[in-house]
Amino acid sequence: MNKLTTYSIKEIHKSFRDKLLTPTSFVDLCIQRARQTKELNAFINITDEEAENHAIESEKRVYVEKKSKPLDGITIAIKDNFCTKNIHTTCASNMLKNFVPTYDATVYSRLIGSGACLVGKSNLDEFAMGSGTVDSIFGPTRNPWCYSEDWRISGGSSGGSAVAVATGSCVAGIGSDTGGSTRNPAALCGVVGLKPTYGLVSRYGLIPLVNSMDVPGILTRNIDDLIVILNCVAGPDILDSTTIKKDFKPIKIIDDIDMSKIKIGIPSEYYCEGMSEDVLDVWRSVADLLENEKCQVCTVSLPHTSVSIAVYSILNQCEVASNMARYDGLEYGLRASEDYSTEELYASTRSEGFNNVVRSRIFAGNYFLLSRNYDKYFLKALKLRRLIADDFNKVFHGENSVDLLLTPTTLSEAPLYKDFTSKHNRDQCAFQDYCTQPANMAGIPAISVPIRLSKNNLPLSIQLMGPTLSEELMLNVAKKIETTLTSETLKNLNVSIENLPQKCQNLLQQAAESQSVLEIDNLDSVSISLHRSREISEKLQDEYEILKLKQRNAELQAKIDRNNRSLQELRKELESSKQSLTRQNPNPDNIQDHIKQLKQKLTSYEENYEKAKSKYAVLSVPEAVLPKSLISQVTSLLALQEEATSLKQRADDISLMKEARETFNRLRR
Amino acid sequence: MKYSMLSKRLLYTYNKIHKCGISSHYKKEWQSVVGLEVHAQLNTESKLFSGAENTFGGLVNNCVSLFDAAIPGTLPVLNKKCVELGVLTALALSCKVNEVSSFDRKHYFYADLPAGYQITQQRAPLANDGAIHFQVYTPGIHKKPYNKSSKIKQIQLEQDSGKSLHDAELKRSLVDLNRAGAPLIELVFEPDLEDGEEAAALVKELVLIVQRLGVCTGRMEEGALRVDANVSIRRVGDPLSTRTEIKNIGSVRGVAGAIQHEIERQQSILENGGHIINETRAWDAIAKITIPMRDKEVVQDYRYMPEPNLPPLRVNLNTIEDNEDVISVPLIKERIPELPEESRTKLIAKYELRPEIAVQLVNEPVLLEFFQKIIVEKARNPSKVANLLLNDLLTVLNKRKINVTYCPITVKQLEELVDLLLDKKISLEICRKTINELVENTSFSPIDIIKQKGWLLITDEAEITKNCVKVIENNPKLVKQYKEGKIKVFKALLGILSKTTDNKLDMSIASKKFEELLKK
Repeated sequence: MNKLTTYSIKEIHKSFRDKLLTPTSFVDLCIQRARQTKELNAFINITDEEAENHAIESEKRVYVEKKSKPLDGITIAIKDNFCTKNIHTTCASNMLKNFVPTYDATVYSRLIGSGACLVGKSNLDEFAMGSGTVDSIFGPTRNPWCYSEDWRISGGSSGGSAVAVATGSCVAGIGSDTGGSTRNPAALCGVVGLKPTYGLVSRYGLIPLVNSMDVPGILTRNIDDLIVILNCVAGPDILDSTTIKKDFKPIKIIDDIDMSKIKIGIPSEYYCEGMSEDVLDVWRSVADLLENEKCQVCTVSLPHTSVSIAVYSILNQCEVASNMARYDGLEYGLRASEDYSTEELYASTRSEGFNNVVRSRIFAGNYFLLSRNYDKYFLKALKLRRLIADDFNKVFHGENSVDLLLTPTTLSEAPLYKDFTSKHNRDQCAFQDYCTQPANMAGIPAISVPIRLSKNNLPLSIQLMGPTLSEELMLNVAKKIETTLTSETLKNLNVSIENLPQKCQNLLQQAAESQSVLEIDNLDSVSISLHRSREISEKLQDEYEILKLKQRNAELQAKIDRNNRSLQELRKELESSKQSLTRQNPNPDNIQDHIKQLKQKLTSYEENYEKAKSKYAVLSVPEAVLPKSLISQVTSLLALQEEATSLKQRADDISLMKEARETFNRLRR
Repeated sequence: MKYSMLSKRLLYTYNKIHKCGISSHYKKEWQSVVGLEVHAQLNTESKLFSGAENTFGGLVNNCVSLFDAAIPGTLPVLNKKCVELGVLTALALSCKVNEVSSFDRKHYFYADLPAGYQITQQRAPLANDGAIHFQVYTPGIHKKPYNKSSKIKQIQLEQDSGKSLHDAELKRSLVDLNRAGAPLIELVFEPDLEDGEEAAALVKELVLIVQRLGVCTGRMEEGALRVDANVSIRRVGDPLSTRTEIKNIGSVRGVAGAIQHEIERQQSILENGGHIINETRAWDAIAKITIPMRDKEVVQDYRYMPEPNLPPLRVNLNTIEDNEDVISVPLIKERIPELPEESRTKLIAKYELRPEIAVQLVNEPVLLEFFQKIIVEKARNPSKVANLLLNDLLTVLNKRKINVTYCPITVKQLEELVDLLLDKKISLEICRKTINELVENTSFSPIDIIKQKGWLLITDEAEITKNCVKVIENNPKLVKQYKEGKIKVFKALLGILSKTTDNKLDMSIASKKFEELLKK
């Protein structure tokens, strides 16, 4: 069976049908995984209660109503800047630390409406302003691919969702993408990350960063899952006036796609200073791969790419300044104790509520929007934005047009935390978002697909961009890349046991033997492989436990069934003997025999029961972890035991009665 | 001697000219320029961008949606009905409706503005370039109505703010968001007006128009229509002085008073060598002065920015095709009812009313409705009916401080009264008295009251003759004078006649009879 981290939605649903898993047990496993990986800080809030409730609903639909929904039992993580009714939504900011929305974001309500189960709200940079998930009041999120003292960042700002998906805490993560916030962490954590066309997915309930560029993003481990999720959340929403009004046609994978008709453009401007050798290698190899698949690959030009990041920065800060104006401490959110005057209250609330990054963006944005600066900065930025969008238009619709663009997602593998934080947030964003933000400026769809590991054993990814609403073609090509790679290089990415180095296998052996969870703190040897093998051992252990439990379940069930049957027989016999006692002149010898038989049977039953019980006792699995079915079996066992005792008592009564009769007969004689 | 006389004469002339110069200086020197900005609340069931109820006087903070409270993540959804009403107003004021308009954010921090910005239309408004034509006539100030018009620069859709209440005693502020996000149209007029009366007449006309269109209740006392006035003055031929803005004037007479006061205030400052600062002032309706508003001392930079959450607003200018997203302007044009200007023209042409009567009648929609019903039902003398309504009925109502809208007298009672008056069964004075009684006792019919009080005119010739004879007998001196040719005294005799009979005689019959008797 597959590991938890490689289950696809299809496989999960199949195991639901085969009853190898149930929605509740699967959700339990995901929650457990989320707890086990707590050190990575992917979640701000693990919502076990909601997850359990959603799972029970799913289970009902799957097994009782037999009307399952497309995402029944599928676990999701939602970035903590999407509003969720009655669940804290913090934006990783002091300002909204205690904010509990009274409504659901459209994306969330559509997912839950499709049967999904919420594992938790995931970490982000404060108000999604960043590209590392390092600026959160709940601390940074760490990259699961390299865990040591010198740990690496997860990318951002949707780092929490990316890590949650990568570690198997959930099947899909929802992020937001303003300048690359979904694709960047997807690339650094080795998962798939989609930024849909602007307006394809509703923004209602997404706490905005830049309204004109924000779009909810999707993170999964494979393209198939991504399509299932996208098909559930996309489409017009009357609550968001900027959604595309046209009905959404669900996306399908075309099995025999004719790749020779697809033109792929390589924009020369995307090669920039600071791009690592590894990344260039991957870019080249994917271009080769597509060419091998008979795609037409050519170089194209997007001349305004280099100014894009500056334009993005200005527009971003202007909208931030405007969007953040509502946080005044009056209606909701943090309110400072200063109440000397309303102005004082505003000032101290906003100063306490926002971190430096947010405050500096508000400051800059307000400067750009001053009436004397409006034409100089904001208007010019808008004009340049138009030129950038025109670049894409020409490439996709002009002469010698191409269907898709192939670029790197990030300029390098996941940076070390200490390196990343040595630079200013603004400079980091400008660097990290270089390849991703043009798609937001133009509102076009883009996807980051993991390709292989770097020399440092860290994921490397590429990005595909397409014209507006070209998701279907883009995802089909991405799927093609994925399948081609799975049979070659990607083996390395979805680490399988055979390919593990000897050292890891040994470790795995040890882990299996000791059957104990390795403490993360003990792993001071700081080795990447050690950490990875620990992860794998955990995964294997999980599966081993599940299998073991299932076997036990089967055995116990059989035994219980047998006991049940004999008990029933016993009861029948008792009943008939009792009847014969009352109705006819009793034959004492007959009764004596009966009693003997009954006693024997009872003893054998008790023995059987003891055996079953002791076998169950061997299973040292905590009750919380046990699948619900097992617990119910134990309860029924206990009930049976009680019944047995009462039967024994009855047998005693009968023997007493028999003695009385004998005495009576004797006296008569 | 001659010389001194001459010099005296010269001095006198000089003084005279000089004085004249000064006085003409005072009279002609100042010219005032007034421009208005009017906010009118649209009469819709829900707010401009949310589904919350749009109502006046609701329970505090009870008509507030998540969007109105600026809860993070919520988005505006434009209420189509507001666009329709905006376009209807624009068309009625002959504006050019723009095929594409857009929304902007206007930023400022204030407790009753939860989002920290107001959504308005600054760069591309709903409509431009219209005009309003109206009559300026205030009884007591103007002898005759005169035509005036003001150009409309633009009409824009925007959100209203909430209301702040300041509790000075407990030193706290309370905010009511019921009004936050309510739909407004702002009408920006060119500075085409000269004084407060013209501004008041414009506002009055606008109230009538929006009421006719049904786009706004026009109730200024509820804040449904609020006026900001920009006032500046200049010496003839000079450039304009710094202007000041008077915010939120809440009544038609307030507009006249505030602007008049502001003009005088600016004049006296300039005459005393001071200079006017560009500031926002408020109208104190009780003290009848304008006072500076403290919280807006500093000139605000509103940091306008396009509203990114709303796509451009498109309307169909050409066809009558109407759909969910694009409303048809020609279709709305068909919905424009008769406007006040047209009503006045009709009244003058059809019923031969004097212009000032027509102005006054149209200014009181309830009375106009009475008038039309009374006239249509039966051919009655229009001028007399109008006079009865405007002078007698209105006087009684005003004296008792009853709003015309809540006039307790029915059309039927009025018709009866008009007929009694026109058939000369009662005098004008009795008529007025009857109205007074009717207001108190609405269940009675006028004739009952008149009969009960014994106010019916005496038309019986015998009775009249008897009274005339009595007057002739009691006033031999006057009769003698009359007979000697002093026809003037006839009026005095008539006066005595009407006085001695408590105005109960039908004087038209009586005067004829009286003359006959005197000439015998």
